[in-house]
Amino acid sequence: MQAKKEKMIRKASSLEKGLIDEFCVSIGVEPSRCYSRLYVLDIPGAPFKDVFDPSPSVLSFLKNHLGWNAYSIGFYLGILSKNKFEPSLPLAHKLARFCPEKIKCVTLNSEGEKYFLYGRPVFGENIVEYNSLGPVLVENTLREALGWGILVLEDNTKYGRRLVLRPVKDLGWYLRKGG
Amino acid sequence: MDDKIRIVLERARNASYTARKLAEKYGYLPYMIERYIEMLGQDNVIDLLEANESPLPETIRCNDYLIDCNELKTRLEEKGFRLTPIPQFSRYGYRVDHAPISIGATHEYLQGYYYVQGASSMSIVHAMDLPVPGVIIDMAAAPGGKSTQILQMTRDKSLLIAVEKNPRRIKSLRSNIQRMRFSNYILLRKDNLSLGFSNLFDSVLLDAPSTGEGIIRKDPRRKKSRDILDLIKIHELQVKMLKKAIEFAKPGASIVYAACSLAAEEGEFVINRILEEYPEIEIEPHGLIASQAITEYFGLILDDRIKNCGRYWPHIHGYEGFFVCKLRKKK
Repeated sequence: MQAKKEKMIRKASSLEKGLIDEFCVSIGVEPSRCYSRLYVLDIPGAPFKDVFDPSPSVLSFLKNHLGWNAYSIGFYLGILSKNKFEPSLPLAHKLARFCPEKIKCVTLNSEGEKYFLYGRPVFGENIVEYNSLGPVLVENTLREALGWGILVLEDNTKYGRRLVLRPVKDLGWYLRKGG
Repeated sequence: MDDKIRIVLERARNASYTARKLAEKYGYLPYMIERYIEMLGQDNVIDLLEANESPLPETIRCNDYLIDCNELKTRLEEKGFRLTPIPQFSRYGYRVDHAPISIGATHEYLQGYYYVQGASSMSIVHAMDLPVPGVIIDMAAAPGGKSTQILQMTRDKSLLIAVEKNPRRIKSLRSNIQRMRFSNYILLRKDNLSLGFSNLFDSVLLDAPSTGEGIIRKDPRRKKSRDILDLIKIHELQVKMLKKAIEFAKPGASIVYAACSLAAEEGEFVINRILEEYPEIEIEPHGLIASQAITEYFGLILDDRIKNCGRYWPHIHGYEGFFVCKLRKKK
């Protein structure tokens, strides 16, 4: 979900920066590891904004030749909607190297990877390791990012208390919705 | 309308008996066959038409920005794929000889480790100058095969401006650039003819919208979907776009013009008009394995320099038909 029209790009406000920083802290990483620069693409009428971390050359071209107007720019960080930040798949790749020591993450076996990439929940038997419940970066055993999820302990009448990874955004998105 | 195009198409419209019979047998519009006979001669036309009856081999371009290509080959072969390198087209290219599942649905694909791209198509970027650092424009960028290849070959260090006006296609472009994990780009959802850049880019790629005569193997509807009037319209659009490309390029910069078509009207005749109007444009060798472009067609003699442009033929090179030409704007 990103902009449908070219819209104005601007620096993120302190409120917007705060939401992104809050997300980074919630997964256990310093905000400086998530981004260097924060720029937002406003989409009038849409319930979300796109957030980017553009390179200096992108910024210079936008300023000098495009009047801050473009469809998409630079490193895509995610979406800001309703006072919440939803991280992108490129951000998962960028932060994958910090798993498991420096970021909240979960590692799946190949069976779990298949389920996750189909956008389906993954249960405890396919989870190789994890270091936290809640929002997590999801990886396979090769330390390749697969996306973002929420890891919870659920009570189930048949299985009792069990670990469940609920997908938030997985790489299968590129096939299902990426176009 | 350009006089040369008018003359050519009038001649092609009066298709010979042989052209009409072949058109009937293979399911084409007769004017198309008449043109192929003119370019190839009757014997070779059969080879072309037969090649167009066989499916286009599937090929991928490894993204060595993310993974060593030998490692990718091993990983895919462990999953049952059989791959053959095609270095004559691209050092990143592989033909998929056997696929247990769709090559566009593997986990390696989702990781951005490769792009499913035609062999001729992936060769085109090798004809470009790719300065690092530099500012490069891809004027008709979706779905992103060549854009991602430019970013790959410049190691994401040169700024790419990728332009696409179609709202649906630009989504694919964005998705592919992000999937392959590049970040030094700006996407513009614009008609490239509306852009006002002047003497700005170090390198320009125009992979022009075309009739798609080069991919009949992939889409057989194209044997009949474009009549002569469509061809004229597309030719005029391609000339306009190439003029824009020249405007965009810095003095001294190169412009690679490509079209996924076998039509001389979309290749040699576009370049001929440019050479007539722009003394500051010269043609350089493209350095690819493509065959020499034609300089004589229905009795018309084109600028001799056009022989330095190239053509990929399905029956000679084995993949999509393409026209490619490397131009340089003199300082």
